[in-house]
Formats: sequence, C-alpha cells, structure tokens
Amino acid sequence: MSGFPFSAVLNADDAKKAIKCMLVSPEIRTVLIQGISGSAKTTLVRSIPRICRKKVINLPLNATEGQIIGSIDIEETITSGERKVLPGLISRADGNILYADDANLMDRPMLGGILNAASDGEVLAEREGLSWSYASDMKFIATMNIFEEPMDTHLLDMFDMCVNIGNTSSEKERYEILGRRLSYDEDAEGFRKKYEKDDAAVSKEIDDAAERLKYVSISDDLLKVIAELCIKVGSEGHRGDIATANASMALAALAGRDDVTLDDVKEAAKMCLGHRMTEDPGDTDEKRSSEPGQEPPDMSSPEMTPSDDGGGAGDGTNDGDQGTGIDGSETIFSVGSTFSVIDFTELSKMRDINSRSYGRHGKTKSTTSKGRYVRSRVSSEYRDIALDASIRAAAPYQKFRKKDGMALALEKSDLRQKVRERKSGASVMFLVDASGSMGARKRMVSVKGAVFSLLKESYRNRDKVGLTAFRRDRAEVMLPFTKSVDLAYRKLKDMPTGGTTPLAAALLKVYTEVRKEIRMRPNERYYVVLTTDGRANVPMSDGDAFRDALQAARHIGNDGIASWIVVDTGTGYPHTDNAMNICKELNGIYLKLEDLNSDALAHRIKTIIGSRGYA
Amino acid sequence: MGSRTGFPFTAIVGQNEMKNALILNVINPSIGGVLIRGEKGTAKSTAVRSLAELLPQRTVSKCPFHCVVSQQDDLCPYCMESLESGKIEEETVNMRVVELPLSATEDRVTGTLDLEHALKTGKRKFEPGVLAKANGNILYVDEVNLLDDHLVDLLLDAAAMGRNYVEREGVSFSHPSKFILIGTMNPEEGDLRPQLLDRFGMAVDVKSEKDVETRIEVIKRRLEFEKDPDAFNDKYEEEQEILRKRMDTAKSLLKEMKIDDEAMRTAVEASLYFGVDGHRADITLLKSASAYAAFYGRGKTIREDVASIANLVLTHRMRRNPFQESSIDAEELNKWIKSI
Repeated sequence: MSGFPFSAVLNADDAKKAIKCMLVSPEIRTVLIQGISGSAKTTLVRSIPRICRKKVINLPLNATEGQIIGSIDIEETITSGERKVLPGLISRADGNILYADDANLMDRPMLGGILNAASDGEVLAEREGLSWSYASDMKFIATMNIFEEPMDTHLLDMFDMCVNIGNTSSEKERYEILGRRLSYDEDAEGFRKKYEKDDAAVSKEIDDAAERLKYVSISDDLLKVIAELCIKVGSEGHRGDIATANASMALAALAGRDDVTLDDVKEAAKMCLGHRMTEDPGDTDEKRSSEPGQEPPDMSSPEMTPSDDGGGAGDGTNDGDQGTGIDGSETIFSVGSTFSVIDFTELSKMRDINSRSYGRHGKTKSTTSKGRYVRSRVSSEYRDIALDASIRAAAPYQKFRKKDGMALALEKSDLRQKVRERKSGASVMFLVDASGSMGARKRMVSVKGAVFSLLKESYRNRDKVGLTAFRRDRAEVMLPFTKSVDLAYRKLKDMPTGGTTPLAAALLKVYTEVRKEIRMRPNERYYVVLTTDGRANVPMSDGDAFRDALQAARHIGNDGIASWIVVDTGTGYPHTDNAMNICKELNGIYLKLEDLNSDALAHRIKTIIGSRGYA
Repeated sequence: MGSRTGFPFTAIVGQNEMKNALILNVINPSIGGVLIRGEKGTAKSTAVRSLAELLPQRTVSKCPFHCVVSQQDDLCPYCMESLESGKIEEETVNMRVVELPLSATEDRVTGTLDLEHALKTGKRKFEPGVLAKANGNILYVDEVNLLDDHLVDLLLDAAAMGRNYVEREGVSFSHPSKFILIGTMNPEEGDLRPQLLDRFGMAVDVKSEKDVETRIEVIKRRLEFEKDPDAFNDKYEEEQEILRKRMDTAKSLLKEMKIDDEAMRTAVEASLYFGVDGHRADITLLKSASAYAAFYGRGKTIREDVASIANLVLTHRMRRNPFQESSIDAEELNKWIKSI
C-alpha cells in the first residue's frame, strides 16, 4: 500500500486522536482538521488506509453536484430508454471515508449536503426526472487552511469534531520531521517498512476499542458536566453535547477502559466544542489551559504598537494636537496605536476562526461564463450550455427520437445551462476627511486605526480596497481599487492632515471612481466608507459649501450605486448634524466615532459589509 | 530542440538570482517551483520561456498524461490497464513549459467530457486539460496574481495531491499531475493569495539593472537578437550546451546524494531563526541546498549551501502578516549567514 505511514506523522496528536475516535465510534461521522499550510493535514488523512480497512476517497473542489449525489446514467438510459441512476461520490464512499481538502473553499450548499449525508447516512435525490434515495455509511473528513477564508458557523457546527494540527514545534521536532520526510522521499518502501509495526499496532488499537465500545458507559454525573460545559461555552443546539459524549466514550475505549472519566470528557470537549464556542467562558476555561503550544499564530498586530508604527515616519507628530488647525500645517498621524483589531491571542483558536465568519461574504452567481460550474438549470438560451446535463436530459427519449444518423438527438427542451458561481469580495472605497478639523484630539488616529482594522480583514478576504482623501481644495484618489492591501496601508500611513474640507468635491470624486469600476466589474459589491465630521467649508463654485455637499449626496443617493457607511467623526460641542444629514441623503448607514472605539467601529462596519452577503 | 526563435537563457544579462532559482528547480523538480516578482520588462517571462531550451529529456508512457512508469502508485487509469494486461509502452519526450493563460476556463484546466465522443457514440470519455499537459513539465502562469480564484483553487488542489481529480459533467477521472509551478507577477497589481504563495518553493524579486554599462548590454543583446534570432541563438549555442551538460551532471550527482545531518540542522535553524511556520520551508531549504551543491559539482550538501539559497526559500514565507514593511531583512539574513 502506498503513502506516508500514519505513525510517522509527528506533531499531530489531536488530529490523530480525532481520527481514531472516528474510526472507533460509529456515531462520530465528521471531522474537520484545521492548520496552516505545510502542517501535514493532507499527508495525515491520506495515511488513514494504513491503519484501517477504509479507503479515502477524494472529493475535488471541481466536483459538480450531480457527480456527488448521483445523476442519470447516460449510456444505460440511451440504450434502454429507461432512466437509470449513475451513483455519485457519496455512494462510492459507502463504508469508506470521503475526504475534502480546502473544504472552506467549497460551494456552501454542496458542503452542507455532504455533511448531512454523512451524519444521516442517507441521501434523498430528486434530480433529472428521477427520484431515488439511498443509504451510504460514509464518514467525512475535511481539512482547511486557517489563513484562508473562514467557514460558516452553521457548517462548522455540523462537524462532530474539529482539531488543529501542529503548528511550529521545537527545533528537535522540526529536525525529526524533516528527517522523516527526506528519508521517505529517498526510499518510500523502506520507510514504510520501518513503521509497519507501529501502523499495525494502531490498527489493532482501533479494532479493540471498537469492540470494547459496546461495553463503555458514561455516568449521569459526567453527562451533566458535558451539558454544563456546553451551556458555558455557548454551544448552540445539541450536536456539541452529543459529540462530546460520543468522543468521551471512544476515548475511554481507546484507553482500554469501560468507564468514562472526567479526563476523557475534558479531552473530548477540547475536540468537540472548540469550534462551537460562542462565548468566552473566562479564565477557568479548561480548553485553553490544556493547549500549550497551540498558540494561534500571532495575527494580532505587533506592527501597531507605537514603537513600530511605520518606521518612525509619524512618530514625532502623533503625540500632540499641534499643527492641526486650518492654518495649513500638515501632520501625519500614525495609524492608531491603541487599537487592535481582533485580539487573536486572547481568544482560543477555534473561537477565533468562528468569530471571523461574519467577514466572509458573497459567493455570487456569476452571469458571465466565468466561475465554477456547480449545477445546471433549464434554459432556453444557447449560452454556456451544460452539455453533460443536456445529454442527460435527452437520454431517456433517445429510443423514440428520429436521429438522422446521429448518435444523439437533442431538442430545445433538453437544453440545460450552466449555473456558475464565483467568489466576489467586496470592493471598499475609504473616503477619508483629512482636513484640519480631523486632527483635533487625535481623531485621525482613531480613523486610521479603524480603517487599518478593516484593511486587515480585506487582506484575508482578498477584497479590493481604495483610498480617497480630501482636504484643502480637492479630493484625491490616493489609491484606485486594488487588491494590494499593502499599498493601501502605506498610503494611509503617510496620509497628511490639514487644511479645509471640500466635501462636495470629494463625494463626486468617489462617485465617479466607483462608477468607473462598476462599468468594468459589474458583478462585485461596492461600499464606500466615509469618515468625516461633515463640516464642509469649500463650495463647488461660490455657493454654500454644506448645501453643495448635501446636493451631491442626494444625487449619489438617488443613483444608489454603492452602499454607503458614514462615520461621523464630529465630537464635543457644538455638535452639528451635518454628517448625519449627508448620510440620510446618501441612504447610508450612520455610525458615530464618539460612541465607538476603533475596534468596535471596525467590527460594526465589517458586520454591515458581511451581512449583506449577496449583491 | 524545437524552433529556436526564442531568446536564449544564457544571453539574459544579470538577474542571477532568478536564473539560479529556475535552474535549481529543473535540477530538482520537487523544490516546488518559483514565483518571480518584479516590475514590467525585467525579462521575467523571457527567462521562463527560454528555460524550455535547457530542459532534459524524460522517458515516459505513451498515454496522454505521460506517466512515469516506475511510479506505479501514480499511474493514470489507461496505464493501470496496460500494466495489468502486460506492458506500458514508453517514449522519450522533452520536458517542456506549459502555459496557463489567465483566460482559461475551468474545464480546460482540469479536463472535461469529450464532447465529440459523447455526441458521436453517446459514451462518456475524458478529454485531458492543462493539468494533464503539465504533468512532469513546467506549468507557467504569467501574472499569476490576477488568476481567478476558482482557478487558483484547482491549481492548489492538484499541487497538494500531485494528482488531478475530476468529478464533473458525468466524468469521474484522475491522473497524475506533478508539475513545477512557475509564476510571474508584478506586485503593484495586487497580492497573491497566501495559500498559493506558500505553494511556491522559492520566490525571487527581480529589479531592473541599475548599472549603466549593464543596461547598455541588455539593449545591445536585445537588438542583436531582433535583427537575426537564428544567428543570435547560434552564437549562444555553445554556452547553452555547457549549461545543459552542467545541469545534467548535477541531476546525476543529486541522485547519489545522501541526506546530510548538518545541512538538515542548518535548515531547521534557519527556519526557526526567521520565524517561518510550517514544515514546507525546512524541506524546501534542504532540497534547494542539495540542488545548489550539485549544480556546483559537489556530492555533499554543506551549511554554506543552505545559506546561499536561504533567501530564495524564506523571503516569501516570512510575511505571515500583511503590512509588514519589508519581508525578509537582507541584513538579518546576512547576519545569520555570517553567524554560521
């Protein structure tokens, strides 16, 4: 048998344990393994056939729905004139393990369907004129890279267990891992021989445990512990409770015991509840303290500490209010040093991944012929035809149709069109008031901090961002829409403040910029985040500056080209309603900087962008 | 050697890091490819395309996927069949550069249902795509940062598995797809997805030559080439042949090379020193270092070899965080190299 030995994979204790639990317990059906790239996720899953009699069947990202669920068998149907079913991947995985790499990148309904099939052991199909159902005793393992987009929380919840696979390890361990990999590459056969005994021992351990599991029982007291734990961490529904109980029993069986102990429960909870946490249970949390060395990679921002906020470019100027008047002097404010976006180190890793899922937005149905072909639909258009589906639709009638020497007669009613899906990030333009009044009381620091938080999120989601600043007599597009968030950060960092407020001009400038972009890429979702105190004082020609701004806003609002979010940065007395009124005209969402720190502000905006998933 | 109208590799002025990276990958294809980042007009694409002339020959099966017959775990279904019924027929082909255009559609990348065959016979058959052509070859993506996400996913999938699994349009098929991924990009046009970035064994940043004399030489050679491509190629044929031979020798040296404990420790030290996560960096460091040693005619990898290629392997892996001012610190690297 080919592949890397299971026992030779190092630094993957939790993942191995979860896999063993799954192989021992018939009730544990789905496992998710998360890790950074190069952490042997794939290697480990592919080594499973070496420790049990199950096969690992690969589910590629390009799989179409029919191919997974099953579809009509063209050959059979054409020759017999009767509709016959061609089994899909789920049937083929019966009694085995279906494996999806990068599951977070999969089509969501599809992943949901597979998870359901795995937990129910049964599939009901209504497709292509056929109605059938079948049983499939399939287990499902998915892996995902934690640096890629997060998975939906409700999909996460459908996984019985979710574990992290090792990150960095000690020098000694890394050296050992490297050595094993190299000797495997050099002589795979010899290497496998070396671990044959170990793999066989694991295999026996699993068989014995599966046998023992029938006699394993769990006390009511421990069930109570589980229930309490689930409530404490805010695990919704009962899947978490049930999974934890089953995993505890499997762990006891693996340890050769008939009774479940508190330690089993603790260990099981670590693997079954981490991804279901919605609340921070506080310091007493067992899970975190029991995960030393599983520190999440530090995505909190060391570069946001004051000492490192941009090579010192703004250091001398950010600690006072000097030079902030309308007198024209310029100040470059550092990117808010007091804010962190989401403090990744403070949250447990699973919860962290969980909490980010608001940020991921749309997969939009693509109307161009680009994107992933996920399914087909009846259509009378001759564009982007799904030939496979069309042939399947025509197959039952072949016996009765006139073919004129062709092997296949297609009619218009058979035509199926491809439904494609394409990820669409949001395109976010930041329109930043950089006039002198923004300099007061470090408002600019807060604004930059908030924008920076959003940029970080955009980087992860591969959104497009742009930056327009306005001050003195004009608005300047400092950065047109780009995927280079890096560049946006640098521009933002070096953005000077000072001068008057040409609000009307700024609104129109961004309007033009966004329209230009929409013409080129109509399928994306557009947002403009405007941060201003609304104190316009530069008119378009020689009228009233604020009236001009209102008029510009009304025009844009009527057009409705993008979703606007207005962050009112006005503080103190006298407070004006200017920004709010501008926002009303724009039909935007109004937020006040005063009420929110950078963090909360960034979070609110992200929620708004995230919650409007589909354009 | 095919049509020789391309610019010869050895005639490219300067850009030694890029050239080294490309050569090392040909010597040891398991390094994992190169990402070449740089402004426009820095001979990125020229270098990659010109590599074709230097590529070795391979003995492979006659199937559309050019399976390596000795790797029996990794055959395509056709070869599996032939293997059972007797012998797999083989042929000798040149390793080549297969390009993946940005406009490619998904079905052309992974392969799809053979339309003609389906209509004529009513039977399903697999029609191979770019990932099939790329097996055992170089897969080149120009402007790789602009590649559509769903295509990137497919590349990642294939790169991770070393095999292309197709489950679509009524076709269920898989075939080996092991390729050297080479991408070029202009960083100003956007970042690369972190996961794809990590898949590249090496990354090089190329800059235009700043030295006037060198720049003049660049123009001169280009003009000479444009005037008479064939004559220009003839002029460099000797140098090309020397390089080919040298790469050949290196390949055989590499085959005989034993894993060196000290080099291994150095690789791990380097990764830890620069705070690089994941084990791919360690493995790539060592593989690159041994290819480097072989290229310089040595049968043993030493610490200095690791130091020589550390820059290529570690630079793009340092940036776990966006917005860090510079990626790897040249000074840091020098400091570390001196420390060994």
